[in-house]
Formats: sequence, structure tokens, C-alpha cells
Amino acid sequence: MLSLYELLDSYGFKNGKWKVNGELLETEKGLKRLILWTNEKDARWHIHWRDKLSEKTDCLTNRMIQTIHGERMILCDAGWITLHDEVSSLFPFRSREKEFGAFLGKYFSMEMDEFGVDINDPLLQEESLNYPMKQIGNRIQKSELHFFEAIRKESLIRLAKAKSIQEEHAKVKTPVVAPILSLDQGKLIFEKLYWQHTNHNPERGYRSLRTILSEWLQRYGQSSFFALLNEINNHFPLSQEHGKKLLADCIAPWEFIEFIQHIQTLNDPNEYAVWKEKLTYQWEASRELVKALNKWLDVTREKVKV
Amino acid sequence: MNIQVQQKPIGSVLFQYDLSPEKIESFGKVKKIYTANGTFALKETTMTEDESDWFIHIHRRLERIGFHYVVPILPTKYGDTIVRHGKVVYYLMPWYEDNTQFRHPVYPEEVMVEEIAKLHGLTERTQEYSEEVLKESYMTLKKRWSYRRLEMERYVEKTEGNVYLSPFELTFLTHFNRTIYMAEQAETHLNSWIEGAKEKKSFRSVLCHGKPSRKHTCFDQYGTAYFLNFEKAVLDTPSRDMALMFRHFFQSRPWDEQEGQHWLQLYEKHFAFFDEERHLFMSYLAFPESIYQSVDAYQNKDKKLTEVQAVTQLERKVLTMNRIQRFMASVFDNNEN
Repeated sequence: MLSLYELLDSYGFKNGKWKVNGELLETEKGLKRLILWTNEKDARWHIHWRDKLSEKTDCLTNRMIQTIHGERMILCDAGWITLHDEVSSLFPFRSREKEFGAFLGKYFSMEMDEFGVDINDPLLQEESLNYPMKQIGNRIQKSELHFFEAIRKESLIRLAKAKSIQEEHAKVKTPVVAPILSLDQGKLIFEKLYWQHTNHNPERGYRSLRTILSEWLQRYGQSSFFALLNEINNHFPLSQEHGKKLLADCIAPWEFIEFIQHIQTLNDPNEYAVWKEKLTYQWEASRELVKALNKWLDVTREKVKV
Repeated sequence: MNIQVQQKPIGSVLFQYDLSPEKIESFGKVKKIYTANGTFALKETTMTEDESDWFIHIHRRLERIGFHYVVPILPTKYGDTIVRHGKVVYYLMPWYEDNTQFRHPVYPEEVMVEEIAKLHGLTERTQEYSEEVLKESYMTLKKRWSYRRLEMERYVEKTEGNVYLSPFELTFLTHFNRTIYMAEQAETHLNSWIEGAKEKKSFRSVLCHGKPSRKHTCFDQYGTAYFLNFEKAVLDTPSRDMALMFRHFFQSRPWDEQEGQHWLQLYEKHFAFFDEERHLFMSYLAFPESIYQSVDAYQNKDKKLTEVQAVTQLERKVLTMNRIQRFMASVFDNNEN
């Protein structure tokens, strides 16, 4: 890694000290976060993605700050370093469906070179729902197995439905985006949205959109959710091809797949309870999302017909 | 709208420069930003994406060719030249104080002419000859001028039918024939330009500032001028930039044909016009568009000038036209000698 002195010198800061060693830097120009990339291609992909997103949406994002020599990343012993603003105030999304919907629509309609990076592409497979009963049976009580099996059967039905919709719309080009984990990535700078990206590899599919829509529906309710979808639709055709593929992704039992993966490695029975509660919450949230999305698709279809 | 709300877009723009303003002063579309790290000028303008791409290209080119008489544009912390908010574009420059008092005698017009000549010299490019392109430019200008003449002739006809003439109308009628003479001179020079270019079978372009004026120039205390606002910069004939600059000089202070000649000589010391370019330059200057614009404004009452102000303005423009006529005569007499 670079020394503090080298870092300050490279970026032209007069003063600076570590707030969190090697991660968070306090300078005369505000808090800056240091990110270490072990793969140059990943860093380059994110530089281009964030630059392009900022240009397309007019929104601020945690783009890479350039050095005094105009470099966007610095090579060091451990990999490549990039520097970003650290913003902590959360963006108030309530009643801002238009602004955020436009942002999301543009986000998911972005197309760019893949720069040869590894793209996460989660596949829906039936095998994901099979689990070694012996292994799991040892970790949970027998009374839970009934619940477990009921959910699994329902998941298989959901999976079949999702696959059939996906196959129907196989020709639709699936978006490749920087992964979104939560609405909390939206920060506030001078009344404007500042989108704080994660540093994960790009992903193909609708997981990010599903995550954000589900969170929105839970937080702000159905009418706000519809208003958001209407605005997204102006930039990313949800009422047409993408809507159905998104619906398929929402129907797929991702929460159960995740649950199975985690409980296979559990040691503490208390942890099982936590995971079960999480599954129950997510299951219900998925059901509500599918219901609301389906309703919006129906309403939109009817509007088009008229 | 309160001040806080108005400042919000500026806040998010300045964030991209890592600047925390301590004080902001507005000068039209420019904001003077005082910060702990210095004073800056933030320009707000409107540009399409193509226009902003061209604007960025121009500034990179000026840097590449080593033309230093420009107020530099500072990049954001991400390396962008401009910050876009929809159609509105912002760009940041260091604040250059514009001096009017210098350490030794300086004549701003002379400095500006010399520096523009250097810019033209550095960006000169011979264009691929196309008679069609030439003819099209020629015809467009000729048509526009004919149309303007016709408009003015109609105005004169209408005015002459009035029982009582206003002082403005009387002044215009008095000098109308002279404006027609100047319009004819402009056409004659335009014809000489196209004939010359056809004969030579070539024409050249330079980077034209597009709005060369004192307002778009900052002078340091030693009398060096730094141009700003290249938003209307184009690749065109040097005659265009020079005509724009001379027109600006003519309107900003009293001058005479000797001075005009002196400025032209200074320009040509660094970047000599071809004969046909000189004709084009003169045709641009000769056409009395500025007088015709006063008539438009008087008819439309859009400037809300009083009658006295309108007459004074018109008389000043007539005076300039007469000077241009003398300037034109002196330039071509000298050339013929």
C-alpha cells in the first residue's frame, strides 16, 4: 500500500490523516474513501460505468477522483487504489419517484463494453433446491422439517413458473449493471442524489432491480411503487419485454436458495432461527412484490389496449 | 425563490471541484467564487451535447497547440471539463482580474488584434477546394443582403408616405442612399472574394473565437490579454473573426481610418490576409447591417429607447459607416499603390 504521505502527495491534499487506517482519509477537502482493487479490469469497468452513469443521469456518484497527474487509479504493491468521496447523509426518497425512477430507468438501460471482466450471472437451477436432508436434519428440529418441505415444494412451483416466463422471453437482452444492494446507497449532496456504488463485479439480470423495487414497496407502499415503475418505464421499457423478465426474476425463489446455502453451514441453532425469520420476511416481501408488479403490468397493458 | 434554493445547483457543481465557497458574487452568467483555495469564475451557459463536445475539443486543441492567451478551464476532481445539468452547462476558471491600468502604455485593441492573429496563425488550415461550398456561402450571404435591402427600401417607401416624419425616420432617410452605396460596396467586395478564391482554387480556415470583444478578454497588469468564452468558436475564414473584432472596436470608442489601418497592419504582421480574404473582410464590414438593426428595433419598439436615444444611436452608427467607408478606401488605395 501507499504511505499516507505518498497518497496526499498524489492527490494534491495539503493536510490529511487516517480516520480509519487504510480506508478512510480525512482531508481539507472532506472525507475520502480508499478502495483497493485486486483486478485492474474490475476497477476500469467501474470507472467507465460510473463516468457514463453520471453523464447519462446528471446524478453524482462515487466516481474515482483523479490524481494531480490526471490518473483515476494508482498502482501499488497490493493492487490498484482508487479514491472516492465519503458521503453519509441518506437521500430522502419519499415523494421523489420521478427523480429516482428516471435514475433507475437510465441505470438499467445503460449499455457499455464489458472490458473482459467476470460478470456475475446467477442461474436458476432446480438442483439449487435439492439439499442433503441428512446434513440439514442434524441441524434443525424434526418439527421444522415439515415447514421446510412445504416451502421447498412451493419453491419448485415458483421456479418452474419463473423458468417458463424466462424461456418465453429468452430473446430479450438482459441488462448488465453495477450491483445494487440497497436503497441506502442513495446519499444526499446539496439536495441532489449521490449514488454510492459497491465495488462488486458487474452482474447480469434483474436482481438489483428486484431488490430495490421490493425495498421501495415495503417502505413507501403500492401507489408510490406504481409511480416509480411508471417513471422507470419512460427510460427502460418495463411495460414491454423487460417487465416479464423482471416478473420471472421476482417469482424465482431466490430467498429459499440463499436460505439453503446458509443453513448447510450453520453450527449454532440460534442462527437457524435468525435465518428462518429472514426467509419468512423475504418470502412475504417477494409475494407482495410479485402481486404489485403483476397488477402494474396488467394496468399498463390495459392502458396500452385503450 | 430564496437565496438558499438558488444556490443549491451551484453547491452540487462546486462539490465536483471540491470547493467550499466562502462568498459568491454574481456578474451576469458568471459567479465569482471566493474559497480558501483561491478565487474562481464559474460560468453558466446552455449548450447541446454536440456544442459542449466541440467546446471541450477547442480547449484541448488550444492547449495542444500552445496558445496560452486563454483563461484556462479547470477540470473537476473527476477530470471533466464541464458539468452538465440537463441543458445547462457549468465550467470553472481561475478568476483573472481584468486590469485597465498597466505598468507601461498598453492599447488593448492592439494586443487583441495581435493575439487573435497568433491564434489564426496557429490554427490555419487549407481546406479542400469545393466550388459548391464557396458558391453556397456566397449565395446565402448575397440573398440575405438582398432581402435586407428590400426590407429597408419598403420601410423607406412607407416612411416617405408619412405627412410628418419622426426625427429617427428623417435621419434614416437622409442617410439611406449612403447605406445603399455601402451595401453595393459590400457586394462588390464579396464578388471580388469569390472570383479570387475561384481563381486560386483554394481557401483556408482558422479557429475563429466567434465573439472577440473586450468583454471576452482579461488583461493582466503587464498588458497581456487572455481570451475567454470560446463557446461560439468555429472553424471559418479569418475574415469573419476580424470583421467581428473590428465592428466591436468601432462601437466601443471613437476611431479613425488611420487607427483602423494600424490595427489591420498589426494583424497582418503576424497573419497576412490573402487578397480575396481582405475583400471578404471588407465586405463584412461594409454592409450596413448595424444601421438596419436600429431600424428593426425602432419599428418593433423592442429596445424601448426614447426617440432621442434612438436618433443618437443611429447617428453614431452612421458616423461609423462613414469611417468604414474611409477605412475601406484607404486600405484598397494602399494595396493598389
